[in-house]
Amino acid sequence: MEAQSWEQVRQAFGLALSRAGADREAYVEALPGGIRREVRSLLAADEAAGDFLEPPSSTLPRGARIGRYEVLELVGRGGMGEVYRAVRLDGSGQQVALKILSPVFRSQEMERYFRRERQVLAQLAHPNIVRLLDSGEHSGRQYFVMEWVEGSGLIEWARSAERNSQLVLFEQVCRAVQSAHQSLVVHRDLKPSNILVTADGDPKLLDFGIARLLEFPGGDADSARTNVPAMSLPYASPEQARGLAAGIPSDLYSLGLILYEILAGRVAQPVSGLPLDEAIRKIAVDDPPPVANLPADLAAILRKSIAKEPEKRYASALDLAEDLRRYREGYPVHAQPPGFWYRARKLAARNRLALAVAVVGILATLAALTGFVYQYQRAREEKALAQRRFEAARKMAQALLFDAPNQLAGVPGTIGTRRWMAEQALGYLERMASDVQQDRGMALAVARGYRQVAYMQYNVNSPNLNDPPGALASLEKAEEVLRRAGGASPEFLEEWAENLLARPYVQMNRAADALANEQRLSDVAARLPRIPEELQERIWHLHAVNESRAPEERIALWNRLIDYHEARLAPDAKNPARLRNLAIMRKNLAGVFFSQKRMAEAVEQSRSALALDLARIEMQPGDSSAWMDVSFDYGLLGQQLAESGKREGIDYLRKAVAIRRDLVAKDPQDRRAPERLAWMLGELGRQLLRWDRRGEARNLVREAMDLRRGLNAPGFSQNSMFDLHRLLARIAERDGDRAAACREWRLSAEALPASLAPALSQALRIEEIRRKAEDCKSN
Amino acid sequence: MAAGDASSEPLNELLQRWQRGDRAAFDEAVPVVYEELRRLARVLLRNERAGHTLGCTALVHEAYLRLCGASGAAGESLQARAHFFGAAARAMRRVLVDHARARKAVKRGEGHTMLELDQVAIGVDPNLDVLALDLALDELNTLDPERARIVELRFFAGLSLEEAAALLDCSEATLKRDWAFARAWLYRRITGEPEK
Repeated sequence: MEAQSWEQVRQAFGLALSRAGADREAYVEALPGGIRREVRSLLAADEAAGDFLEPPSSTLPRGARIGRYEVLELVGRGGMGEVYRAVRLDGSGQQVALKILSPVFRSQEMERYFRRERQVLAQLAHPNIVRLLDSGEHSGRQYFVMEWVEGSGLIEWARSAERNSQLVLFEQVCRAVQSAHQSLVVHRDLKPSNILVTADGDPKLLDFGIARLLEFPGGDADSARTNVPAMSLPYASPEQARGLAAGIPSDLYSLGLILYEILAGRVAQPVSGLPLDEAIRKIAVDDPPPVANLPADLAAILRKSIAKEPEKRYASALDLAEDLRRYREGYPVHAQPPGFWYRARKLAARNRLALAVAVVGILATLAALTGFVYQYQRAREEKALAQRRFEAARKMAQALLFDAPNQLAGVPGTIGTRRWMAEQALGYLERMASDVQQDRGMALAVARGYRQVAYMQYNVNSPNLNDPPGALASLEKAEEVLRRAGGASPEFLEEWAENLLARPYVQMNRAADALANEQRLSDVAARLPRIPEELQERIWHLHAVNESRAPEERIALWNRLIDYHEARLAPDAKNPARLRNLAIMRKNLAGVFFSQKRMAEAVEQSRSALALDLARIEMQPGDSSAWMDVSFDYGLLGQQLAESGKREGIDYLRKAVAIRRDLVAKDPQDRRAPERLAWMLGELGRQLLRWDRRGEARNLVREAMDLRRGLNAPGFSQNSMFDLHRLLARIAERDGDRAAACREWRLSAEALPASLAPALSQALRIEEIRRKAEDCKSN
Repeated sequence: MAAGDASSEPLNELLQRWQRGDRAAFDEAVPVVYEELRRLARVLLRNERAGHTLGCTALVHEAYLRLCGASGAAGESLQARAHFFGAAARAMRRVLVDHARARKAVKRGEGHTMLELDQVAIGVDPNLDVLALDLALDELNTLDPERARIVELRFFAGLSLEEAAALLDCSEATLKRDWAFARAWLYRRITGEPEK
């Protein structure tokens, strides 16, 4: 054979050998004739050769005695030596792993490495790190004996494990590495094949072969460079690959690559087989492709752990483990930039127990904030730093103070806690308000905080502390902060507008206030360069709900709003939220018609509203809030029909009561349901009086009173206790039972809230109650 | 051990000369290792339990320990170790070839050498025709000395793929391919299949 073709045959043979089956056949087939024949012949010879010339795979035969141990089989071969499964010869039958230094590499340097591994293992006592049992020398070859770990490889194990157990196990690995680091030992060769998982599911870290003891920084500086012996390139850190010193960050990077492999099911840095310079470039520069279908938090943790720059990685293996734990338990992870909504989402996703933790967190945060305010005032020269810290703490406080209570709102039995939290929040805001006058950004934050507390105190959409006067006070304080700060940015003005828009819900329709409100809102909106469409729509809304405005004007406003919303609904006719919105507007319009005794029009609007809400039921039959709305619609329709003297109104009211009874029975935890049932019972009772059904009316009103007593919710509902007593008084009057009537009038007067800012219709009734109670006294 | 100490000085010197580029030093070193291997085999075979094979690997390793010592100059650099194992492999090859020739001579009634180095005793397949292998290996050496060297290290010094790759400073994958190539070529040569 010519030298040239010899070389070609050798190369082609090697390439053919690295392929299998059809792939190999296709490769050989494509070779030029002479070379093809020769390669085929050699491949056949290779197959036929069996173990021809193959040296024994190990240097120690089965049965060889090494100190107090007898060799059973070779289980692994590494750069430095061989690992055997062996058995202790003391009759205990204890199996061990015996690692013996290869004589080929025998040198002072290698022996130093070997001794070091022994020394390192002896230092480490951790349940997840393989234990050193013994050591010695055999025929001039050093060996040491470790506990025998029966288990599967990490990656094989991970393939059939669930995500959660994968992470739990990996966290154990991190903690083991952390314990090594705390013993001042860097592993430097962390890779899946160095981690076994036992049958009990515990990971074991093996092979501290090239570990470095950190406590000899001077003497060990050279060996910190990892050229001899080489680490496994696919798991090397960028700094390791560049031949720089490999410290703790290197181990953390390797851990990140292992995490990647567990999650992705593939090697993060597939560099084996690449030319060395290409492999090093890849490790130093290329980020592994993102793992598909990974939750954002987990992806962020992974990114942070395999950051190319050591300073961007986690500070310790424990930090990595802790972030994974936080991820598993649904807490915000440190790998994600902290944002208010991010934290709020996390908070919302967690269970109720976690919210109790948030309450404790508030205490700590408040204490911290008080400190920051103090610092803020004291250290003017460090203002920028203090400001930054303050900002961070403030964001945290926002999440805890203003989000946690909303999460708690739906949880039964938390009203005391929520009230306490609102008080804490107010105290905090008050301190802020007096400290931050000069700072508009801070003023904006404080004003927002106040508005959020007001929402906790009272709103019409979700559970609240039922404290409208408190809510109003909070909104007024917020406006005061905004006024003093005098900001003029759109953000600032929009917050002001939001504040004013929230007023009608807490002002109980005081006409004078409502007008003043509208005026201020117009002023604020006029300062905006452009009024956003949504804001404009809400301003109309504010005007429309103002009962002191002329009815014709209000009817026009509602019609305009209904048109606006119908146009928006059109492309999205099946959107339940929009259907509900539109229904509410029609009910409002019905209310205006009703107050003008335009009954036919009122009933028409109410029927439309009912149809819209029934459409929602059709889409979501299990939606109890839709059922609540439908019961309200029936009630409203029933009320309007009854007031117009139509008996069918009673049937609608009965339907409304039936639905609400159902809702109370279905969810005993829903605190609003009994309150709403009580309202409807009172209303049905009131209308029944029209047809003189006194007995039934009395029973219904008493049932409503029992429900109310159980609720212990003070406030302004249209038929609060005083209203129900008034009904009983009027029933007693019809019965001709003056004594009973007077008793009820007195009770009604006593039940009147101390501070009243009632709407007009209520004022009339209250006037009646006071007068009657007075009458009864004089009798 | 007196014998080891006595012979370690000249061997280390020879290996150092060889490292400095004196090719003749290699040829001088091989007989030193050769003597040591024979001596070792005799001693070890006497001491080992009956039926226990020694193996080229163990022999060579033992020789290495004795000749180069734990702290000998040859022990410190990879290159020096490569040189030693090269010499040891060559020496072991001669041990086995001499034994095979002696056995042939005995069969023909020409001699009565003590067959202290039985092929079985040192773990080599008794059916292997060492003389044919020796010839084929010479042939391979003229065609491709690098691949021939791999065969010597693997077969006669009993080095593992990892060890041989480290000594020859190449990747394990490359060494594995080259070893397979050389082995297939030798097998075909010895089993008499025509080359083309």
